[in-house]
Amino acid sequence: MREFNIQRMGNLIYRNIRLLKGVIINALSVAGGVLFLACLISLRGDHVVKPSEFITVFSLVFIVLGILFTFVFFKEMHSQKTNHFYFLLPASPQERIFASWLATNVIYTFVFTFFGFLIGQFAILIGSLFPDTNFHALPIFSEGYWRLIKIYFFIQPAFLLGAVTFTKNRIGKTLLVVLLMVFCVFMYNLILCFSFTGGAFDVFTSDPFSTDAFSLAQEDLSILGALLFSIVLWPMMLLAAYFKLKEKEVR
Amino acid sequence: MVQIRNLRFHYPKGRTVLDDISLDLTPGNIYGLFGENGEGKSTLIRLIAGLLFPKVGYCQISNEDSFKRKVRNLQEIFIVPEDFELPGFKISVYEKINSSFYPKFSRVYFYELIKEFKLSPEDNISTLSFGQKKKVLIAFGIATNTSLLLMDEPTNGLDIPSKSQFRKIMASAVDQGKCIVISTHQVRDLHSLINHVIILGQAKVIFDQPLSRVSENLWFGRPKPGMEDSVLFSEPSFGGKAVHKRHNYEETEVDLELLFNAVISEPVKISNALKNTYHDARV
Repeated sequence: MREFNIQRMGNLIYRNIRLLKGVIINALSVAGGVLFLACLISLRGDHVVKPSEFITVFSLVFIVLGILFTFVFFKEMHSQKTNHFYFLLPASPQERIFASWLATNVIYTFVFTFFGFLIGQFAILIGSLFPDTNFHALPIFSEGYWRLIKIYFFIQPAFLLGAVTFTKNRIGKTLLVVLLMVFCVFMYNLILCFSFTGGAFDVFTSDPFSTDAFSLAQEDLSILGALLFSIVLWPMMLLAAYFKLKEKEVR
Repeated sequence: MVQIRNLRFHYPKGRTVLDDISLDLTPGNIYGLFGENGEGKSTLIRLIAGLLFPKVGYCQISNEDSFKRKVRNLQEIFIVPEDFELPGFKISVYEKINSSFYPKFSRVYFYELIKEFKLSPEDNISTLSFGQKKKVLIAFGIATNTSLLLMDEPTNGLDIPSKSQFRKIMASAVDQGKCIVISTHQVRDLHSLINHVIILGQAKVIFDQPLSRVSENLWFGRPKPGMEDSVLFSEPSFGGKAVHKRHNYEETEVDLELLFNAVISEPVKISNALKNTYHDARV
């Protein structure tokens, strides 16, 4: 018996989406309303929806909804009245993790982009009924959009791990852990900085030398950090989520 | 089918719930798992299903540790938990989204059972009572045709006619390839359904016998003159009913409640009375 089967994974995604149908419809209604209003407001003045205006609201709604969707996807697993069914459903942990990642990351991105485009375009259509506003295509695929997709693609697995690991107050605990990690990295940097400069912190002055140093560090280390995060950290998060799921007991 | 050896389990910071449990559950039987409240019946069911992990010992299904929750094993297990929540779908939608995971699922059988339980595929689960929801789950569990069906207090929430309906359906569901384990503290509900009794007491298995052996060796009823010496256990509240060594008396129907009370009160006497007997008959 194979422990990874594409058809079973598809069935898992379909089953979960059917289970969450009501929640998804409600969330999309709210998101659609927000995007619609934001697009109408941005039509004021210059009568055009600019990429920067759209992406600001779209990013916020996309990230918040994506994270909420990730947590809701594991609702059945954490409820005492439904977790029996979740864990005894014939599917392997790798199928469950991959199915949930695919649904809450890849499929979600495609669906929400399409949804956002439709709503934005509809808002422009409604706006074009008024004088001075011409119908135009929604500039969704801007540089900001691709940056957002990249960020979501890499940070979402951390929230997926939180959704699997924590049983209660899952969102709060995950955010707390993320904040703690950011704080630890900050402290680590501070200690490094202190040990290199001996506490003089001259690099914080407006000396051209320090500006060059910061630019260099940013170019070299940030790229390295981003590479490490993208290549190592997010698959590690999925792997950790897999083991958490495998070791989960139902009390 | 299910092999449990020297299993020990305790919850974190809790007392030992199950201690040195060894059991063999074989296909073709309906096991009644009895015990007083808090004796670990539900815990044992969860351990068999692989929802909990043993601290010591092992529990295997078809020679595979159940806690590994392998797909092959999961396709052969279905559990009807004591307390559960079903999604607010039509019964037909519930069937559609879950049945694809069970290769031996029979849609025809499922809808036959639904009809027999006086429900309709178009009924919305959210509008059903808890007892009716339980019927949906029982019907689904039977229709999956898994070789191991675990039921935790399945008769809780069922009305009196539904309990006999449940017994009838369960009796027709068992075949040579299926093993059904029903855990309950309502011993009477399983009357004429089970063919093997397992009783848990003080974290151990204190009784594990087929009913055929019980009826071969024990006699249930009001004592007749001259039977005083063979009384193993008697209970005045049962109208003077007692458990006796059978000797040459005619065979009686096993009174599960009386047997349960006798085992809890006099485990050694009952165990000795059943020792040195013949074959281990199965259905």
